[in-house]
Amino acid sequence: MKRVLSLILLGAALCGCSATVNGQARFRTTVGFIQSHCSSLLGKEVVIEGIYKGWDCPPDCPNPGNTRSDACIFEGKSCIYLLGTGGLDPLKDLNKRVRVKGIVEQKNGICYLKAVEVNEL
Amino acid sequence: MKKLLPLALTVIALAGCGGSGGSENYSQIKGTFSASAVEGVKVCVTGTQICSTTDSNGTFTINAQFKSPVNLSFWVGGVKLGSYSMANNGEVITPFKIMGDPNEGLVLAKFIHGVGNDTTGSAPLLNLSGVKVEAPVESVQRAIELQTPFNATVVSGNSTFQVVVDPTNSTVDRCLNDGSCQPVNYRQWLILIYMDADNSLNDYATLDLQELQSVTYSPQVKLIALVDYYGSGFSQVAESDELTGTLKVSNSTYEPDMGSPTTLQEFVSKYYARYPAPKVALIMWNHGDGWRSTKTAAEDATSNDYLFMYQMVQALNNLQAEGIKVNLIGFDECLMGMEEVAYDLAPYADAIVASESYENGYGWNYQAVMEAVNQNPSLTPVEFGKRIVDAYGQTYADQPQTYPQTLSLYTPDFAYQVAGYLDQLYYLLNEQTLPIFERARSEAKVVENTNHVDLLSFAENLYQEASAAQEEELAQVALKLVQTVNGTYRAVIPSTSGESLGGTAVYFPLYRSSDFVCYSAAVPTDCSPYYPKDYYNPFARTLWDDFLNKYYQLEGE
Repeated sequence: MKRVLSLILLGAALCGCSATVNGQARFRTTVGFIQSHCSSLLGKEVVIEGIYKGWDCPPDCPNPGNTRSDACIFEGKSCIYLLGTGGLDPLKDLNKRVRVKGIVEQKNGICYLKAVEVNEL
Repeated sequence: MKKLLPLALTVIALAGCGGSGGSENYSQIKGTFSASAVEGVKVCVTGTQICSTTDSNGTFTINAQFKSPVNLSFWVGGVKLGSYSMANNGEVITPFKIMGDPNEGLVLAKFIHGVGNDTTGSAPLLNLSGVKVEAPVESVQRAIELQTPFNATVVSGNSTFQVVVDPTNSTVDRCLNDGSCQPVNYRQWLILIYMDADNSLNDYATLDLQELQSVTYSPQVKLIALVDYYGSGFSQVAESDELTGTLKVSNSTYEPDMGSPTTLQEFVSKYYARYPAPKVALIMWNHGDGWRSTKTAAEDATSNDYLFMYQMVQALNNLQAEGIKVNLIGFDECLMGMEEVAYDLAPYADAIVASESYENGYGWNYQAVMEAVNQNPSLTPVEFGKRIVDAYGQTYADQPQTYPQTLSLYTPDFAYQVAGYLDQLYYLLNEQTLPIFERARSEAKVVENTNHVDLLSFAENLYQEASAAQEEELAQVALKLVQTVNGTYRAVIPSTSGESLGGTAVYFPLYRSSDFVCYSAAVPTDCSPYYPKDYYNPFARTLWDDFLNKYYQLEGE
């Protein structure tokens, strides 16, 4: 696990994939990358950017079923759920581009983010 | 919202005069008589010989000039069932409307099905054409009102039997000439599920339908679910079948806008007209957040429409004007368990079930919920609500939870009592007591990153702080709040980290929030570009928004 993560972080560093949130450098990645490397990222804090789709999430967006309020983030064709609404408003913040700092977690074999901080871009 | 209160009351008073919209002239009287569809009921304009007879849909048309409301009398085989003042032409008239009381309406419905020789009370069509009935009563309605037992003799084709009515214990029996009797039943519950899965919850609708289909339905429980799925052009109606006890699902290309109050109103109205019952449950299945960020009770992604709480209130108000009372309102949704929602719906239901925090994605355990009511259809709305709470608690209590969960049962008494105590807090807030309130608020639990506090924890803090400061009156009000919230029937499921909530929230941001202008809108107000221009918060009729306003002003904003 550590070896995989090291490779991921090395790759990220080589790609220059880092973000600064509140003065702290974080592992900036993509929704697609999280979905394809979920098990190796569990418990890690990541930063993604994407479109906040609130509750307007299509059935092919894998839903972990944490709560009946879970909202989703789209980035390109990839999609990931947050735990709850992520502190945003599914009506007012719908379709806004946001940056999400969150912890990668998994339920029912499906990856999701427990948002720590969400900012509109 | 004291300044707007007189205006609000004027608006409410004016609105209260509505419903039928006043007197109107018609050249044709139309309506439907429903206790299931009943054919062969004679309908007359009371005091005249102008009559018609219901067809196989239960509908009737009388060609006559009249001014609404018109008083109609209903007859079966020579016996007068009762009379009803029809305010709206085209109205659906049920035994419950005629009697004006669900228990008395139940006896009349049983009598009609007894005359139709349908002891299950679930036949979708009763044909009473050609049936002769003799009974020593002025009308069945009057006998039931006076609690007078009577026997009716029914001649139907070659068979003759007795219908024995005892309003004192709400029983009706059909007795044959050999002396054998069989009780006549009638459906006890109409359960309507407004399943809005036209959003991220698409897959959960399928799972919950499977749970609903795992149950065998009693003829005394009629279940209808309207299911809207993600995207356009596909919805389903699930309907329990009285003969087989199964839940039959039919597909449709109809695309309902589940965020529209009209869709909700028409859903309830349509199926109540078809399957009138003394007790009606409306289960809202969707996303929800009460008076919170989106202030909604439903969201439809395809039509990008949101059912705001005030719109739900309007829909229920319109239904009540049609004579349709919803007895139990359940929210299989997140974050609806707040005083604001309980207060908004208190005039329209006997029991309300809602979750203060997030609900588990899988929602209610419908198998357990429906088994409970099908095993005992005589459950009252409050008892049914308790079974829903029990089922939720039993389903999730042993599962590890990321966040604390509750499911609570509210009654109108609860909602009004809490509103009364919150009103008292407005008068008890002053410069001297402000620090007490501030400490109570800052230490209160906040519900899932929202502007709502857990009312129990706030009230407990307030009681302790006020007691320590020897503010006796304030301490007493806080104590009553604690006792009232603790008195709710609820399932409390702590998170794995030990956090728990009391089951009821109330809006109380630390600082004046940008949405306060909408929160304090007691009358229709164009308060936000995100909301309809007639937005208002029914809870702003209380003094809680005035309390908040005073609180922020005393704090120096």
